[in-house]
Amino acid sequence: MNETEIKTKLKEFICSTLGVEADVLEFDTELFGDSPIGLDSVDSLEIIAYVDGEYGVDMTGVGKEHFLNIDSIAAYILANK
Amino acid sequence: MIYINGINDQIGQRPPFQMIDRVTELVPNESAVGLKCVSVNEPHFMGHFPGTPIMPGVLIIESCAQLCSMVIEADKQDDKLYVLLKVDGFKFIKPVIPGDQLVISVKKTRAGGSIFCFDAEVRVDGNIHAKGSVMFTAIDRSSVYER
Repeated sequence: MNETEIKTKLKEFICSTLGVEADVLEFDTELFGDSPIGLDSVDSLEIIAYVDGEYGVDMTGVGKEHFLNIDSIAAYILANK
Repeated sequence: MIYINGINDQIGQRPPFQMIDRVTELVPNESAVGLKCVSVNEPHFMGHFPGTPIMPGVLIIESCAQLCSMVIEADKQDDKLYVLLKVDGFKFIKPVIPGDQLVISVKKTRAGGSIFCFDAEVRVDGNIHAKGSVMFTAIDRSSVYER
């Protein structure tokens, strides 16, 4: 699975499970904090669970710099797969 | 069949906040079916609502959550506490009233990282009264009072 496929699937998960509108979410859109997307710590646990289940990559306790956006999550998955 | 003493061995809740009376089926880490017998003696019926007692929806969710605890705490660790993290899409289709026996079914839908997700369904006399999804995570007991 290539990088674009991972990013596309991450976006699908974030939109379908976390309730984010697809048209406001790009791969480099900031996900957490005061960003318009505004995901929170519960959402991060859901992303961790999804990444674990889908790619077998454990992101528990990983620094928040890897959760900035879809690009950084995908990069972590590829680097640790 | 797991009676109340067996339930007490597995979950931490106690009266007046114990919402599962019996477990009729249990597949650890997968699913369970449990019973909750609703009595007019339960104190919330005094105010919810005077003259028209209806079991609060949040307590129906709590009943489902406690049954989920039975599923995921089968291999519990003393330093961990399983807590409700998210409630999704719950519907309260018909009122639950004193005298009803809730037949609650929960089934794990996904787990990964530190979370566990379940679909729950609540039936009375074979008719569906509530359904929805709940999500849990395990936290360190020592972290609960950290602010």
